[in-house]
Amino acid sequence: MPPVEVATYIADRERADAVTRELAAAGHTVRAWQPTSELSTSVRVLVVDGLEAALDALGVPCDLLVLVEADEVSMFPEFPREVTDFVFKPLRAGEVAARVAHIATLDPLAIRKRQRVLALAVEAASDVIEITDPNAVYQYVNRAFERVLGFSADNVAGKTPAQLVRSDVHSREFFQALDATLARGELWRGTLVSRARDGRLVHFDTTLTPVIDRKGQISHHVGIKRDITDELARREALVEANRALEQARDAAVSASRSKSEFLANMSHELRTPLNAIIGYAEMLMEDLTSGSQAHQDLKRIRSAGAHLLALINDVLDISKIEADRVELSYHRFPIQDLIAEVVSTVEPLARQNVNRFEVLAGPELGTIAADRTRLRQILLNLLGNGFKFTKNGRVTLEVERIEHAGGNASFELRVADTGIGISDEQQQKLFRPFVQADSSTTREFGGTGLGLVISRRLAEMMGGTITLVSELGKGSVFTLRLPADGDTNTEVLRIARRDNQRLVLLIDDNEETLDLFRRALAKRGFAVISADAGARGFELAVSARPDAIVLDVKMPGMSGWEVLSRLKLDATTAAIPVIMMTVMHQEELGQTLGAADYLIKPIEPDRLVETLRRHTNGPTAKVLVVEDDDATRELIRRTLEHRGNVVDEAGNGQLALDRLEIERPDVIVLDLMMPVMDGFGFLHALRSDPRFADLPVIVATARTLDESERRSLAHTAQQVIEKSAHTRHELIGVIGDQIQQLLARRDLSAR
Amino acid sequence: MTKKILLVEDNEMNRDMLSRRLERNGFTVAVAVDGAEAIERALADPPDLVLMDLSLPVVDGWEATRRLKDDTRTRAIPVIALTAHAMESDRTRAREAGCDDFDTKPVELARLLEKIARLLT
Repeated sequence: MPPVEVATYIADRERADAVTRELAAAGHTVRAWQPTSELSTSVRVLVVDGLEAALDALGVPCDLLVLVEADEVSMFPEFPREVTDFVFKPLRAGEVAARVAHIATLDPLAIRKRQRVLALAVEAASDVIEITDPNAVYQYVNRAFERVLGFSADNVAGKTPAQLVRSDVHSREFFQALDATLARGELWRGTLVSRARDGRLVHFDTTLTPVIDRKGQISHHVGIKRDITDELARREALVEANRALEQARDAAVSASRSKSEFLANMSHELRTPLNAIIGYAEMLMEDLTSGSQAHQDLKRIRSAGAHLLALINDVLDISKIEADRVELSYHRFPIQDLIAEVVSTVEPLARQNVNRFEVLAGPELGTIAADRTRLRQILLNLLGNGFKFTKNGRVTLEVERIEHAGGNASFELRVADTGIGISDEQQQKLFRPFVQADSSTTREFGGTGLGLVISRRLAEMMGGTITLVSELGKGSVFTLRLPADGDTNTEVLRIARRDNQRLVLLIDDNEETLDLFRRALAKRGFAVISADAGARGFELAVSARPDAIVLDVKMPGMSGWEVLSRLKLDATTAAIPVIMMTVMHQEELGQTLGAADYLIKPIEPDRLVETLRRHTNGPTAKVLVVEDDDATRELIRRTLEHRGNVVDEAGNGQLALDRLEIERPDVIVLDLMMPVMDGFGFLHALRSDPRFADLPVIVATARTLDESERRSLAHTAQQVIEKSAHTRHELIGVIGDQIQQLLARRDLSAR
Repeated sequence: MTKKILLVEDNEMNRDMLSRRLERNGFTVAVAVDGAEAIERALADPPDLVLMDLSLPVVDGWEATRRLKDDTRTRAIPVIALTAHAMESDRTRAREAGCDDFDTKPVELARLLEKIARLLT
C-alpha cells in the first residue's frame, strides 16, 4: 500500500484529529485544508466531513472521500459521480484509513477522467465499435451497434457474432482467412455483411484489430465498422445511371446514323425517277424541231427537272454536313488545273445574262492540298451566284497566293460581280441554313439558298473562310481563303473522334514510308495522323493524344530517341505506347527510354498492324463469318475489319466447324441457308460440343423464320437479325453493332 | 464498225432510256439487269466497253467489276462506273474495284459520251 498525501476538510476538531492520527499512523502525509486556499496537486485524497462541505470541495483535482449520514446519499443522486467514496457516520477512523488505502491503489483521478472521456467517445461514436474475447464472445458493443443492427447491449451478452448477426453471405473459407490473419496478430480490413435484427443485410467497411496483452497473448479483438450499405446502393445507382446514359447516347448516335443513311438512300431514290424524267425529255427534244411548242414545253420539263435535282443535291449536302457525315479527301494538285476546269464549266453561264467573265490568275500559283471536289463545288457555287445575279455586267475570278511568315502560304480566291448586290440586312441571314436572304429572291432566281451555307461550311472544314463585301445595286465580292497546305491530320482527327476509331501517330521523315503505312493502317480501320519531323510529331502527340505512336529512330533534327524520351517525360503523353522503327537491334536503349515495342526495318505493313493491335486495346474481336455468298461475306468482312476486328471466313457450316478446330473466334456471324451444312446444322453441331457451348453466335438470315425456327434459334443463338428488315448496308452496320455490344458485355463480365 | 456497249442497270426506265440514247449515238447496246448477268454476257459476247451501275441486286457493281478485272478474258474491257452523286466513298471503292472511269447519275449524256470516246480510242 503506497503512502499518499491526504488533505482533510473537517470542521469538528475532535473528528479531524482522530482521522489525522489514524492516517498518519498508516504512513500517509496529512494536512488540513480550507476551500479558501489552493489544494496542492500532490494531494491524492481529500477527506470532507458532510455533504454541505463536499459542495465546497467539488471540482478539486483529487479523489473525494466524504463522511456522510447513511440517509444523506440518496438525497443527492448527482454526488456519487463526483465523489470517489463515502464513509458512513458515526465515524470510525479505521474505516477512513481503509478507504484511503483503497483509493491509493486506483489510478489517479486525472487518468480515470481521461478514461471516462474515451469510454464516452467510444460509446457515442457513429461507427459501430465492438470488443470480443478470444472466443469471439461479445464483451462490449457501443450505442451505434444497437442503432445499426437493432441489438442492445443486453441482447449481445454472452453471444458471438456468428450466433447473433450471421448473414450467410460469406463463405467458410472467407472466415478461415479472416481468423488466420487475426491469429497472426495482424489487423484485418474488408467488407463484412451482417444481418440486422429485422433481417436487413448491413454492409460494413470493417477493421478488426487483435489486442495483445503483456504476455503476448491475444486478449481481445476490437472491431470498428462503418455502415456503407447506403453508400453502396448509391454507387450502384450511379453505375446504373451511367450505363443508362451510355445506352441513350449509343441509341442517339445510331439514330443519327440511321437518319443520314436514310437521307443518302432517299436522295438516291429521288434521283432515279428524275433521271428518267430528264433523260426522256432530252430524247424527245432530239426528235422535235427546236422552236416548236412541244420542244419549248419539253425544255421546261427538262429545266424544272434539273432544278429539282439541284435542290435535292443541296438538301442532301447540308444534311450530311449537319449530321457530320461529310468526309474530305485531301490531294495536292496545281490550283491552276482546277481554275481551268471551273472556268470551262461556267463559261456557258456567262453568256446567258450577257456578262463579261474575267479570270485573273498568274501562272506561278503552285499547288494546293485540299479536297478537289469540294473546292470545285465552292467555286462553282460562288461563280454561279455571280452570274445569276448579274445582267449585262462583269464577273471576275481573281486568284492570289499569299506567303506568310514562317513558311506557310494561303490562297485567296475572290469572286467579284457588278450585279444587284446584297443589303446589310440580307447579309446577316445569308450564311444561316434554312433562313434565306429573301424568299422573293428564291422565287425569282431559283435555288435553295443553301449553296452559300454549304460553301462556307465546306471552306471551314478545310481550314478556310468565306467572307463577303457587298453594296446594294453595285455588286458583291466573295472571298474564299484557304491554307495552301490543307492539314489532313485535322480531318483524320475529326473523323476518328466521330467514329471512335483507334488513332495512330506516325512520325517518320520518309514520305514513302508514311504513305505506305498510312494506307495499310487505314485499310485495317486505324485512323492515321502523321508528322515528318520529330518536333512536329511531339507537338501533335500532345495535342491529339493518339492511342499509339510509331516512331522512326533515324530522323534529321530531333532524333527518334529524343522524341521518345520527351514523350515519356510529358504527363499527357507518357502513357501512350510507342513503337520504335530501327535498322538494328537496340532493345535495351528502347526499353530504358520506355518504348512499348520495336520493329526492325524493313517492316512489312502486316507486322506493323499486328504490333499496333497488340498495343491498342481497341474493341477488337476475332469474328468468324459463315456465309456462302461471296459478295455478302466480303462486304461483312470489310466492314468488320474497318471496325478493327480480325475476320476469318467460311463458306458453309462444315467449313466453319473445320475452322473452329484451328482457331476459336470470339463471335460467329452465321447465315442460315448454305450448301453442304446449313446454319441450323452448324448450330446443332456447335452446341453439342462442350468447348463451344457458350460461343456467341449472331444469325443473319434472308429467310423469314417460322415460329418453331425462332424458338430453336432463341436457344442456340445470341442474336437473330432478319435481313429483309434492312438494306444490305444497314444490315452490316447492325451486325457490327451487335458484335460490339456482345464484346462490351464480355469485357464487363470479365471485369 | 460500230462499238458495242454492255449496259448494266437494274432500273428498267433508266436501262431503256440510256440504251436508246446510246443507240442513237451510233453504238450497239447489250443490257444486263444485275452483276451476275453482266459477267455472263461479257464472257459470252465480249463488249467494247461496260457501263456499270454500282448498286445492283444479286452481285453488285463493285463485285462484278472486280470479277471482270480478275478474269483474263474480260480484263481488257474498260468499265465506267455509274455512281450516285457526291458519294466519295463509292468512287473510291469503284476505283479500288478496278473501274477505269466513273460518271455520276443522273447521266449527263454529252459528258458520258466524251468519257466513252476517250476509253474507246
